[in-house]
Amino acid sequence: MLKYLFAKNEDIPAGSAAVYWGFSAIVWFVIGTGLGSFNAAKLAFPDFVTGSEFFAFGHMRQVHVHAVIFGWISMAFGMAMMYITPALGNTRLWSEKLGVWNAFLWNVGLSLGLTLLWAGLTSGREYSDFIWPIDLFIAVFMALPLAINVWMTILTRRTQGIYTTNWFFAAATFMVIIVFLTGNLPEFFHLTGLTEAYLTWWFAHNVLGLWITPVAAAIAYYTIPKVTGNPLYSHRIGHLHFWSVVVFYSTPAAHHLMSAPLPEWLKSFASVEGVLILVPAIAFVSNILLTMQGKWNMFVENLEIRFTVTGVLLAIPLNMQGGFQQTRAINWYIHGTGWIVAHAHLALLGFSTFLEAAAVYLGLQSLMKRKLYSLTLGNMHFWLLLIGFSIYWISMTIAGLIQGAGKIYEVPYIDVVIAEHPYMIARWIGGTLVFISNIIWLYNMWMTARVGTIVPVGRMPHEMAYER
Amino acid sequence: MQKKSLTSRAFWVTIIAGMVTGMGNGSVFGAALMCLLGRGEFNDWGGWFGAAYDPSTFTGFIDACMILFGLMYVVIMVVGLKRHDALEKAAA
Repeated sequence: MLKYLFAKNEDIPAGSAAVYWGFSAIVWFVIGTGLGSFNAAKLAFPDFVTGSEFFAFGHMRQVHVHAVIFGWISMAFGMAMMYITPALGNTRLWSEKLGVWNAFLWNVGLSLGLTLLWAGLTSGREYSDFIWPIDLFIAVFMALPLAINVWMTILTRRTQGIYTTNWFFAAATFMVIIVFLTGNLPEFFHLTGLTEAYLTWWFAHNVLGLWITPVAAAIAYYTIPKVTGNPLYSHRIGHLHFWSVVVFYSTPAAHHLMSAPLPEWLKSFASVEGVLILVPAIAFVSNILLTMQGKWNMFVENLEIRFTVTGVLLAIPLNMQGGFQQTRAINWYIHGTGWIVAHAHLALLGFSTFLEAAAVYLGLQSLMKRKLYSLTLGNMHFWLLLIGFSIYWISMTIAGLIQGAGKIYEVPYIDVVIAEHPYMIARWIGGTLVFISNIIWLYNMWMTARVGTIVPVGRMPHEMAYER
Repeated sequence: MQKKSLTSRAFWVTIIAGMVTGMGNGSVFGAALMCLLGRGEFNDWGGWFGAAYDPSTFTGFIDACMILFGLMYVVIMVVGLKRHDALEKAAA
């Protein structure tokens, strides 16, 4: 793949950039979940690997979070954009070479950032932990080239309208640059106190709300109609989803700071906006599930549809929790507990990951024109991921409820720690299953590239899934 | 050979994905209700092992809600898939 960095644009085969992004994403997923499993082991067994600051939980947690968000999730998004944007515009990617360079720079920037985090060079602000030179690198050399390629591909499309998915892609690639530049202002200009706190959570909220959630949803708007052959149930509901994300999802950052001395009106406003996030959520879930009409057998038979529909189902509890956990009463109970960790994993490892995995499966097979090497391994990946995630999420939610009750009832801290211990072991088991599932996935996709059966022209890989 | 029904082929994914989906909704309902009712006596905090699943404790009530909502969501999915299966068989 590296040979294409210095090739002429016209000499690079279509889809090369997407394949590069896709495999990078899977490798980062293996690394990110491996680190997650390691960290969970440290919580379940406190004597596991001690004596070196490099393996201290505080260092490793940041590396895990950023490897998953900016390695797995964001590179899977990049992969999806590299092949879905041109497909929906009935055109080629604007610049295959820029796409390849973009994937290369993304891997370089992320590796550098994670190495620095590992070494303890951090801004110390959750989710925006990278130091400011890395933040600028991300905005200028990682996010901007992606945005340019997506926008230019949309501008040079050969279709009249712009499909819902590309609305989301264009807006999200623009917004993630703004989020990085604005959310990191405290570090650029040494802002402190409540301003720092507010902007830190403005960043964290909007990385989720204006990057991860809308792009994952946009992918489902492509995958379900493409694989089932059904048209999207309603473009108008898709537009409602888009504009309600813009209005309701971009403003409630203060609901992450309900216990902080921010102005009360701001917290109330943010809390109401937080509940209104249910508007885009309901629009999205209902639109996708109604698009499935007449094709529900594919929920069992087709791997990509099973991944996507499961991800959409997980969007229901995600948004029910997200909409209400930030209201004052519930937030007072669950703030600072494992519930929040579980909720973050419901968003990233549940909802978002399942939708992206479907896009990576579909994209890699379609672009390499090869049938999946092993459907059995694909199914094994799905089940280990789902079971592992479920064990993780249930154990962490219950552990969070216990922690919250311990806080309300003023239970001695050590008693809460002891009561939680079984759930920490369950969390480690769940996380390890997810890690194992991703090793299987990487092997399966690597073998698909090497020896997968070639798909004849005019057929889609999933149509041949059960043919020998 | 006739294919098995959609509900039987989707059995495990209905159980697991349906249960998790319902449990998420149950967690919100249970937490909201217990925040409304307020705390009880110290021994009712419900953190210790089996007490975390005893509906008469603070934590246990929410966990019971999660399980109940999870089961109900599985039922909703089974009913929904059954109806879709009938429609798809009729259309085939």
